[in-house]
Amino acid sequence: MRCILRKLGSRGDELQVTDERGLERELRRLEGSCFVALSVRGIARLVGDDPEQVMECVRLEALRGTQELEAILLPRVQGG
Amino acid sequence: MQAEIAVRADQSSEPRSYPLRRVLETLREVRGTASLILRMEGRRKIVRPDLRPGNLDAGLFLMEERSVRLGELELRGGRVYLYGREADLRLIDSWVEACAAELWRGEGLTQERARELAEVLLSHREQTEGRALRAVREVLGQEVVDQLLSEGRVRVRSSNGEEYVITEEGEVYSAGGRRCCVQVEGGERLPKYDRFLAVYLTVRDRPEKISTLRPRREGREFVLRIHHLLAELEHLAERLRLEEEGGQVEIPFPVG
Repeated sequence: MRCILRKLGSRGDELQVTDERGLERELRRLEGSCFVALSVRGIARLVGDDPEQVMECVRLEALRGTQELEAILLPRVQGG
Repeated sequence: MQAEIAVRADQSSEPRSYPLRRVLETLREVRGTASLILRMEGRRKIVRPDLRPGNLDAGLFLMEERSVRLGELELRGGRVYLYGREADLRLIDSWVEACAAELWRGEGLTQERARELAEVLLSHREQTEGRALRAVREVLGQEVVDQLLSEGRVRVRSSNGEEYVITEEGEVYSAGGRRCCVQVEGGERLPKYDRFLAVYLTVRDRPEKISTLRPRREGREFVLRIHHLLAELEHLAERLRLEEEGGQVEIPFPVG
């Protein structure tokens, strides 16, 4: 499955095309330091900051036959 | 409202732009309309140019004062405009700092140079926010973007069943108008639409991640409930007393 990684930030959008393994490597490298939203066919949903949880959702999409998804890396949001 | 605000920028210290920031924050919050003429003033100590052994009694130094009109800030509908282009408080801070540095360079700051500095910062901001708004459009759709641009805020129904209003600055309000305190990591450095996107998705899909979104019970509700419980206890105690035919009834915990 094609995975597009979108990183937001003050320096601009960074888009990286990879696969499930590449996505998992990147999420483990980030060690839960950001929230991840998954977008499939234009519909986005925030999953969370746990790489395992995110990859579980990605694997589910693969089982559903999804060919491409986008993983959006977002800054963490919490109560002030 | 029209006013002139002076920012002090003495050479030996940081520019004092805190009063300006407070005014802008307040006017933005009340969505007031204002036109503020910004002036920069400063002084520095220089060695007297006409210094000679014979006139040292008059002192070694002179105070040089410089003053320049920087430009006009407009506030409308909660937004700040500099030279007619939308700015944010962080940009204004950077601009004031740059102007303060230029005030003491060479012949000093001119109004044209202040405008040049502003144009560079404004263009950079527009590019960054434009990119961030495109990301919002791609992730959330055109409808959300249209609402953001026209009203500066959007309504969203959260997965916890509650409705919230999220402003373009990433502020969150409950349907009843209560402000929910929300923090975005590194938020100050992020383009506002990136902040908005992070807050929107979190509020909509994972509100449990934000402790301040948990519904707060009014204190009065608790007080009323306590009164009801106390009244019921007193009633039960009275019934027990009657059943015991005048005997003492001990209540296991204090009442009243």
